[in-house]
Amino acid sequence: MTEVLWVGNPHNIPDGFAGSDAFNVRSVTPNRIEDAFPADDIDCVVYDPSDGTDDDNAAVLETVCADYPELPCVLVGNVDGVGEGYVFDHVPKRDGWVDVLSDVVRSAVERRSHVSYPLPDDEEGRLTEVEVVESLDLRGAFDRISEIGRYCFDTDMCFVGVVNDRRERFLSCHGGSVEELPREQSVCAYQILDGGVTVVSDVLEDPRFENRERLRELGMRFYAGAPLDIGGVRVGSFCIMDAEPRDLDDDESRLLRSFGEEVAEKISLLKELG
Amino acid sequence: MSRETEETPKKDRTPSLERPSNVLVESDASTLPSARRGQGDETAFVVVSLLSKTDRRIEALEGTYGEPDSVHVISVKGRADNGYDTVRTVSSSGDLTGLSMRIGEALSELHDDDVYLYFDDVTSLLQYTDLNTAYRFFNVLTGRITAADGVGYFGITPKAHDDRTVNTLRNLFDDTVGMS
Repeated sequence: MTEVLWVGNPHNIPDGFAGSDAFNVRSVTPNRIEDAFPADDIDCVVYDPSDGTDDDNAAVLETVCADYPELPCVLVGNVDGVGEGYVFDHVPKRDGWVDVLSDVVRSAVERRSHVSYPLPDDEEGRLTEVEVVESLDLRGAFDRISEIGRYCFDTDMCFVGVVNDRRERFLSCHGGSVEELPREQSVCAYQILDGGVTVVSDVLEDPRFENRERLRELGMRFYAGAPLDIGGVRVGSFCIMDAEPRDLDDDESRLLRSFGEEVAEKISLLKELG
Repeated sequence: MSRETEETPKKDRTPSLERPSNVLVESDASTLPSARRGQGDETAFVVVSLLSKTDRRIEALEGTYGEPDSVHVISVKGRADNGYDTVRTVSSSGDLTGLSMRIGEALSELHDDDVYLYFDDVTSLLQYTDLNTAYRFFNVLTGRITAADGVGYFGITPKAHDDRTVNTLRNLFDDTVGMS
């Protein structure tokens, strides 16, 4: 069942949409939009601005499209004059619009069409494996190997991260105290697309990480990551980062890969032990 | 061109793709690979024209699909795009809100038709917004085209971008044309 938040007058929710077996629809008025967040269980927002003011429109779009940009947002009405930077789906109310809305909501949720980074081809199977790994309570299990990694590569930070559907969670982070990052702010979101070692010599020079505020806050310039292959999928990465741009030579790359394999083997073993 | 026009579609002159929905096309490509649908009531072209090359893009679509029943243009305010069935405007090439609205309107209006959309072009949009926002915008748009069982062609000038940008965007498309 897809959880839909209808932002607007609840009396305007069409029966054909609210009564669908595919959607569980709850509502909030535009002036109370902030009461509905944060909410991890919302799959999609449908905004009906017909009874709202320009201020309401701006507040809703700012909350949904800017603060929760990965959440699919479908607009059923007109919001001209609110600024140029918002990305959403739009279904105007015309003949047959409820069917179109249902198709668009279903597709947007299934395809995760509002994320700003590529997803691996096997994302669904990957997330199944990630769920198993996250259930193992591995926090701290790799503190020692992260410490050794940081020492070997002489970097500011070394960490082990697992990338789930919306976040990267750090099982260990030596040299820093980060516990998680939004997936869209994570370099590892790109690492898990890569079969080998990923090197970003200078994050600030890479268009993929432009405007990633959390990376700026961390002072990340150099990043290198090796995949954690568990059960045939990449659940996350073993990574090093530094505040200065640099490169990784072939020997270092092989060593980083070995660290990743070592961690992956331990996770697999712990998984077998339950 | 209007919905009343009846023309036999020209024979395909280009290779056929195996039912892709979204294709990244090198902007100078004059022909487009066919991904004909044939299930809709009528054939409609939608050209999102951030450059002043609307007629050239319509010609490229006609070269593959023949003359359509209707042509719908979304362009930047102030550009002289007249004589089509509908012309919608956005305030600038970087007006993502306006583009989201106007494209949504066009696709909803043509819900029962076979829609072939040409977005001209990705490079222009990237001059106004960062890669991540552009990726989200095209992710939403390509998803919408797929949901409507339409076909989208997205022009790009690969040389204007570094490999990381092009390779990231490539992930959104089922196929590419004219790009190494």
